[in-house]
Amino acid sequence: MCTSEAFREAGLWQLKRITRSAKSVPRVDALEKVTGAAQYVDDMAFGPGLLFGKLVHSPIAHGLIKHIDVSAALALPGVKAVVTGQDNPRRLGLYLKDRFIFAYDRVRYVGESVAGVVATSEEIAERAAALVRVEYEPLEPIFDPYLFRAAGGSSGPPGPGEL
Amino acid sequence: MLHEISLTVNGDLHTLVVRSHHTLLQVLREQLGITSPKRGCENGECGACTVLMDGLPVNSCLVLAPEADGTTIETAEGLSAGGELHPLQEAFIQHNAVQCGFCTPGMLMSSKALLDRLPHPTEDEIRDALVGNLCRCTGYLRIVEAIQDVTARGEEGKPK
Repeated sequence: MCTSEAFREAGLWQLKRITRSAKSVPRVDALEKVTGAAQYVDDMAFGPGLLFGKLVHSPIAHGLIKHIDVSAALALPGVKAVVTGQDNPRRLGLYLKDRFIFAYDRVRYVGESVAGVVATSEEIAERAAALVRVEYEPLEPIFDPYLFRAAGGSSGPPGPGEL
Repeated sequence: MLHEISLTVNGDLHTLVVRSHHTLLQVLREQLGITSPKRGCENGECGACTVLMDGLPVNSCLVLAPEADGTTIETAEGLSAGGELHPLQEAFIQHNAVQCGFCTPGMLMSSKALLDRLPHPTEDEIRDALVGNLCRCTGYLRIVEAIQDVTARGEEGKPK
């Protein structure tokens, strides 16, 4: 039975007995962590076939995406794919599906992902990400929720073309 | 550009070819499979990549690979000798100074460098020595206590 059931069944005076007999035990993975043996995901070797992804981020807080030119990035040897929001306009989210995987038609914050590059090494992916040319039409950023409503924004997930 | 370098890591001599713009952190992790130094910020700010180079703690993410030529490198993997844990490693376990453990290798190397230099540091000296190692989990207190325990043990030869 689980601990809370044991407490309920045992009653208060037995609760004291259970807590008094509890021992301090070392953390189960402390040994691996102090010896450097612990394998975090970045420590794992997946072999020479592993591909690497890097993202392209918006430098502006608000703007329309006029055009994304991926040709220079795709031409770089070792680049397997470049994807943008137009390639997959599905929206994601936990309680509210309000996020595009990559920005679909506009960017809404500095750093929003607008494209992703997949390549055979981290360095090639980084260089290719720098070669992706995004043309923005900057818009006035709105940082205030009341101004946002006044400008026509609503609290639901923004569809294409919406604020 | 390629360079051939020789360096001793945890007692083993390695001769290898490195790229001039690669870092010691990359060489250790990707060429030598020594993964205890971590990629935290790769910017010299978090200390998760801390290793000892000729006895001094360095951010291996800021050391260019060719700079490591001819040096002696120590990492957490090399702390336990002959199957026995280093007193710092034992103390970190006993004092619960490890949670996610990502900062731990860096903390261990910075602490070792401190105790090699100052066998009986004050709490301020300990905290000062760890100023380059960030920890998001523990709040640092138990790490400091673990180091103080090792210091105290050093004096009497017995665990506190």
